[in-house]
Amino acid sequence: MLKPGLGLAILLMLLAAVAVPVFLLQASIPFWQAAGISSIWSSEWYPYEQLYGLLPAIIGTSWAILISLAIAIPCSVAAAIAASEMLPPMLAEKARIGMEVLAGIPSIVYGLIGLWVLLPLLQSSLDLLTGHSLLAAGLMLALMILPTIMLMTMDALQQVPADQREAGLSLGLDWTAQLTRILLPAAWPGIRSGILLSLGRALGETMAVMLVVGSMDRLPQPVYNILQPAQTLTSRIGREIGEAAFGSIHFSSLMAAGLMLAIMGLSISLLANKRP
Amino acid sequence: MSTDTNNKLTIRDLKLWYDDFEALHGVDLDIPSGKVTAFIGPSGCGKSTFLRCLNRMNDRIPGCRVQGDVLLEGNDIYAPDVDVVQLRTHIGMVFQKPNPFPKSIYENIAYAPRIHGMMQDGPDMDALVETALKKASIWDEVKDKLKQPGTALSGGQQQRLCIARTIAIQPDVILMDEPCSALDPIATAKIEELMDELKQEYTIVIVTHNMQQAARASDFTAYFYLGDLIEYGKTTDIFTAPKNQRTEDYITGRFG
Repeated sequence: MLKPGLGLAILLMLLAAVAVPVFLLQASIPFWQAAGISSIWSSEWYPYEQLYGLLPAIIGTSWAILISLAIAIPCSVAAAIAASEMLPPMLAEKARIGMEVLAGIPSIVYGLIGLWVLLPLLQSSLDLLTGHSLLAAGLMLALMILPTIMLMTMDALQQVPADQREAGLSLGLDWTAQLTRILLPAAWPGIRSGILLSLGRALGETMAVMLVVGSMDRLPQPVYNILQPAQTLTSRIGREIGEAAFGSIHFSSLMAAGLMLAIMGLSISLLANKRP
Repeated sequence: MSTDTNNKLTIRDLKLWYDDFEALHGVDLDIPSGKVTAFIGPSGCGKSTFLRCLNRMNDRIPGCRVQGDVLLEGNDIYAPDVDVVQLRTHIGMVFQKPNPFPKSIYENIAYAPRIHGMMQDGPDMDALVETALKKASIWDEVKDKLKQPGTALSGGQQQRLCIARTIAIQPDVILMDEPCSALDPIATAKIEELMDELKQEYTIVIVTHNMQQAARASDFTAYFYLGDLIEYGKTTDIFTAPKNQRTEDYITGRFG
């Protein structure tokens, strides 16, 4: 009885994995027919005049993820190394609990804190109009994914087999060599999973991003200007799905934005799974 | 207790605590240069703990405290100015369970010399790897598959690879912590032969559960019991004419 049950479970999972893109594709067909595939790389978004350029939101999402990973990976890996390899076990456990608390905070709460603390800070320190920007979105995301990467890295480091540690020590490796040549390579699969998991969260995060990104439908000018209000795929969907008539081209275009997100997520995981 | 040969390691009144538990009660021992010295005794007698004092592998165990002197050629290895990392390049260690790195056979050997800046990759490194593998009597078995992972070898081969890896950083002393306990009899015989060859160049200290192994492969034997060194002397003497009743009970199998 158990084995057929487990078989059914894996079947359902595979079905779900296939069904998600299929439904998104089906729901976005009216849009693709009306606006064409070229809307992926066109940059005007104005639904009331049938302009559905997806590029600004795709660029916005890419920037937000890039910023968040660039900040979160070094910070969280460094924190995990400090907790696992430098702090006494008692304090390391306290650090772990703190991180678990951070990881459990709902994203809307982060968004509110972003509104209250981060935006005024960015506004005054960088002399911006409001502080709404891709940088703000990236910083919020960094804060949100930091605990996940940190916890998974810490676990991975602590699970490096004792015999590998001893092998390194007995060969006279100093602390730095032990860390960079033995521990980090051995922990890398776990660190990688942490990064991938949080990448998924960063990609799909809506509420916190929507509150701080500014929801401005245009390409950053120039394209690396992360200090302007902008739009991500998620914030566009979140903001506009309520006002798009069910079954309209506008509605279908947001489904297409969802499809883009799914494709981005999928290609990132495929890329990351490719072994050298 | 003194011997006629040069002593590589001299241990005086060595005590060790794990928190409040005193695991070693003042051990005095001279380990002669260029010989195989075996530590025997029942489980929990402190022989592995003692071995790990000799390259300060106990340092990183929380709550562990060591008192007394361990002199390597007259220099106290517990002196405050001693660089533990340097020390461990002089006193190598082989463990109970073979623990090659998840890398190629070649890399397992070249790893530490490269990190220590002993040499760069190239013909010299190739020669070093070959020499180390030859000294560990494993060259003939692996010379055609140096690029294959070390973890794919058999247990006995892995252990000899670990010995080669230790040899590659050119230590004076090689500590072996029950190196054969995970190996079959044939692999064990190979390691014992190897120890006999290696003692030409290195001082070898081995912890073993297997009394026959101590009798076969060592020149000197120390019997530990409950954190005390009970008896120490030439292996032939210990196994044929032990002076202490407790030693005799143990080696004749009446106890332990």
